[in-house]
Amino acid sequence: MFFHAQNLSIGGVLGLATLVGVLGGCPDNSLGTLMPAEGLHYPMGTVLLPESDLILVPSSNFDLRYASGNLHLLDQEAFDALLEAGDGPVTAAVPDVALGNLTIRSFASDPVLLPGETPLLGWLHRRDTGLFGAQVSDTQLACLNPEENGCGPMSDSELMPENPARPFTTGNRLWVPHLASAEASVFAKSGDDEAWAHERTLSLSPWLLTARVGATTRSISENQRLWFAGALPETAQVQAGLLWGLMPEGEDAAFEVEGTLNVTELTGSTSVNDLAWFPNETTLAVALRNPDGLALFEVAQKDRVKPSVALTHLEGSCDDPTRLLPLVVDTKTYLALSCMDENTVRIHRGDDLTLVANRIEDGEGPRNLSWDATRQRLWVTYFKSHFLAAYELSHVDGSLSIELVGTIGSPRPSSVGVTP
Amino acid sequence: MMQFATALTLLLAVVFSSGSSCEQDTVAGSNNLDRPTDLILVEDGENGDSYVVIANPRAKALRFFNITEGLFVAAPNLAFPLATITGTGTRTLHRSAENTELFFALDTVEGEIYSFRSRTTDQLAFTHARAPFRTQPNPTHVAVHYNDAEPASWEIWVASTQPNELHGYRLENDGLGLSRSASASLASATTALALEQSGKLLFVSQAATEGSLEVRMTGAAEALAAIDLPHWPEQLRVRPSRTLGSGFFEIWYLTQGGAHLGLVLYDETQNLFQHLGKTETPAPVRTLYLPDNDSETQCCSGMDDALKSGQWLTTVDAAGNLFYWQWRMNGTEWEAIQLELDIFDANQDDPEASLNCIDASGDAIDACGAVTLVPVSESQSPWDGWELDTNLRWTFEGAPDGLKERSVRFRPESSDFVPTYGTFPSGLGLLQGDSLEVEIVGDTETCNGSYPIAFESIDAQSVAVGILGTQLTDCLGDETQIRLSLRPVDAFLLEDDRHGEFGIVRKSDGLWSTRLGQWQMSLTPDADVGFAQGDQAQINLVKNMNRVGLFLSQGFSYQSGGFGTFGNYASAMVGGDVKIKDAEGEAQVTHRVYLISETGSLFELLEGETDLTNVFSYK
Repeated sequence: MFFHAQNLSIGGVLGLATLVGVLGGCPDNSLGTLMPAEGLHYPMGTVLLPESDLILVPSSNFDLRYASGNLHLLDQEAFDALLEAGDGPVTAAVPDVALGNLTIRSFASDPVLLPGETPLLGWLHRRDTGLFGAQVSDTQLACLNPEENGCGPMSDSELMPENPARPFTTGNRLWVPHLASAEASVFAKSGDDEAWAHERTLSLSPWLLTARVGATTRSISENQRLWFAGALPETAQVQAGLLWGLMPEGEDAAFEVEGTLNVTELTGSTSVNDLAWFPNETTLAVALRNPDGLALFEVAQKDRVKPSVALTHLEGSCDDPTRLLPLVVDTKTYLALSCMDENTVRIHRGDDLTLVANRIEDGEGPRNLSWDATRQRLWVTYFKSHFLAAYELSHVDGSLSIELVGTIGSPRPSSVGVTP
Repeated sequence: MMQFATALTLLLAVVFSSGSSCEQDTVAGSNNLDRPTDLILVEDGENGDSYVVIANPRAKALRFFNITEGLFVAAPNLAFPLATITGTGTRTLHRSAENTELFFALDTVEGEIYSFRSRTTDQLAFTHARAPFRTQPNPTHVAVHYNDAEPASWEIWVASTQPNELHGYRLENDGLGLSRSASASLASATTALALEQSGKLLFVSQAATEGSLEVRMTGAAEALAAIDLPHWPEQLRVRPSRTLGSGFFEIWYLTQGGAHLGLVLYDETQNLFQHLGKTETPAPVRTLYLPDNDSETQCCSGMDDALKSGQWLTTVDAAGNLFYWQWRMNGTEWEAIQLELDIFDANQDDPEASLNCIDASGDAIDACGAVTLVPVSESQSPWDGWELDTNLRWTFEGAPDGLKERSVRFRPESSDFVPTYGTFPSGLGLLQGDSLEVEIVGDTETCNGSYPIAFESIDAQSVAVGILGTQLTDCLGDETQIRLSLRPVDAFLLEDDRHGEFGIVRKSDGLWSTRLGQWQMSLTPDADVGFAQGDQAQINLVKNMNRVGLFLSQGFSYQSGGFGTFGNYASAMVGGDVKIKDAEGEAQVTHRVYLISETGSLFELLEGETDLTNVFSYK
């Protein structure tokens, strides 16, 4: 075994510095105007409500232009009607498809659908602690803790560190990795759907220095398995690692780590941008940064207590592979990839990572990906261009076709961007 | 006006930089490569020079390195390397063995084959020879042969998925007219494609249940012969067998993820395959270089002559470690041919094993016995190479992972157990009739206990054991929650870090023994030692290896910026007789090997080179 630690690139340092500058240096525009509901402004991830036509997407107000962010409730049926009426890609303004809107704080995270009988959306804010929530109906959004200046946390916790990464849910819990600490906050539902509360903070130390992304899979026991990726501690140079273990039962149970993997040793890349499990939960796709690439791991965990993890494919990728999303078109599994720095959305074959489709410069900063299996439609959030793009995927003569059918939120209405 | 002045300034800067670069004709330049994915050699290209052609899908271009001059081919503006535009999915390059007037690239996004000229004719060299042509849907692999029978043509074989097919395309030499020459359905997805040098035989590996390799006469719809393999081959290298003579072919393969390296033989006359075996690679290997059949290189440079071999090949792993392998085929009868395949190791000592025993609580057991390693001398086919440089754990009567306190349900109708969650493990090496102890813990506690039993069978969804007895069967039928543990009796569970749990070590003639590749490992217990359940024999296998090779991820002073890694992520490695100018400026034909890494480096070296200072590198 040979070890090759990598230096953090100058670009990476500058990117981090820029991010820190944006997060820490922008004055909070608390006295300014509430964000208009007529447009998207630095939209984050979309949530597609199952068995409905509803789309939820937050505007993060990433540049703090406004005093607030927004959570938009959009109607895919209305979007479909525009597609039917139009000829070629449709450009829908937000009011054309909007059903409702909720004023929220700035720096909203990607939202997640909270498990329960009633449709609830949960999210976090980069600079706040606590879990925020809204109830979703066909026509409106209702904040679970309305405050004078918008939607407040449904469950606040001073114990929760700042800088939450993308949350994920399983069973009656919501997990929040933290970008600046070796911890994951755990929120649990007790009783009513709306009764979510901070349960504990799970320490990932000494295995990880920070946690960037997380996910869950099934195991061969009742307990689900937790997976985290982040920076490894106590290495002379930046290295990325993967950590897994069974979900601890109860508030006080320790997180018993089953295994770790030094991703940098194996791939040369110094950080992990995203993890995505294929539906079979035996293939794990990893978006790698510096050098940028994609990796597929074969994970045996359906027949054993301790999973075995083996690298099967490693490929270079577009710049800054940001989000991964496995999706099934007809019966064939693909892997969608967004590259924020290169304004690119790619589709790879799921079995061998062969690149089969490429969308370039449809907008700036493609970030989050959501898949509507019913419509075979891929939603891409163009963070810097302030719109959502809808692509329809199909097989034409056996080959995968990806067609841009429309956008929501662009061009921005004139009222957006004007602060009185 | 201001914009015009700025533009003029920029233009002048470019012009001056172009002019100045004309004078720097001894510098290869840097940053000519972005994230290259493949390369081919053109031994006799434009102006009679030799070239490396490199695919750069991120740059959506091919780049050309003039080997003879030691320079990247400059674009019309000499400040920049020549870039022939391709696509973002143009990741692989292909050429025929005999003729490189044309070479080809597959773009998996467009589903097209690009064709390029290597010499100026009525078109400039390094330009598209004709418009790209669309293949059948979802092309994955390509192999090319130049057929000089009149009318001369390029035969381009393209494998695809959805559906799994193999199509042949014929590109006429005159006029470059295209036609489809053949098509065939395949049983599974193609994982690699390779033509033997004459172009008559096409080898196709597929991802069947395990893996398979078949051979086809080019142009025929049906396979001539096929063989199952224990893994999916991901790369194939084919050459006539110098050892066996005319009509025999060696098909070397790398398995998925570069975990194994193996050899299959094909007897063209008898139309027979034989899998000679495989060995594990020390780390996942990215590419494989097999010297030409007429190579006279004795590997490796710097070694004692007694240790050198003319039968060798090279692999490069993801971390930039280039290792040389030596191999031998023993035996003359087809059925008795045996393979030996090992990494070149300057230390020829046998591996040594040391033993350390602990009891189930972790306390040391003094003097528990002795471990011996004996090379297996009898016929072993297929070869199963192991690198004996690892720590093994033998757990006495240990329940395998996945069969330890496993939540199951009992099915009275079939007298077997099914998993509540997930599946049962396979590959543990349990044999029908093995003595097992079944431990049952149920919610009613009426069945709780341990029961000696004979193993019957295991698959993903059921474990069947011997006769349970009516009382136990009835009792189990009443249970709703059962935790089942199943462990071998008077045997060890075998485990290491790389493979996890992978076998059972059974007792025979007073000692426990198992095969590890070509070695028989045995544990002879001390007379007064009795192992109890959970006791562990920890066996440290040490092979003081002195591997021979190059470490390409370090020591290159030309490198600056970039990704911070050098020879990491090897993409492809090829070799050939190329022309390189000597000190007098005369082009001399010499054999060289070229390696490209996805981190943007091109390496030039001699076959069998082991000295990093003799390796040239370009970026």
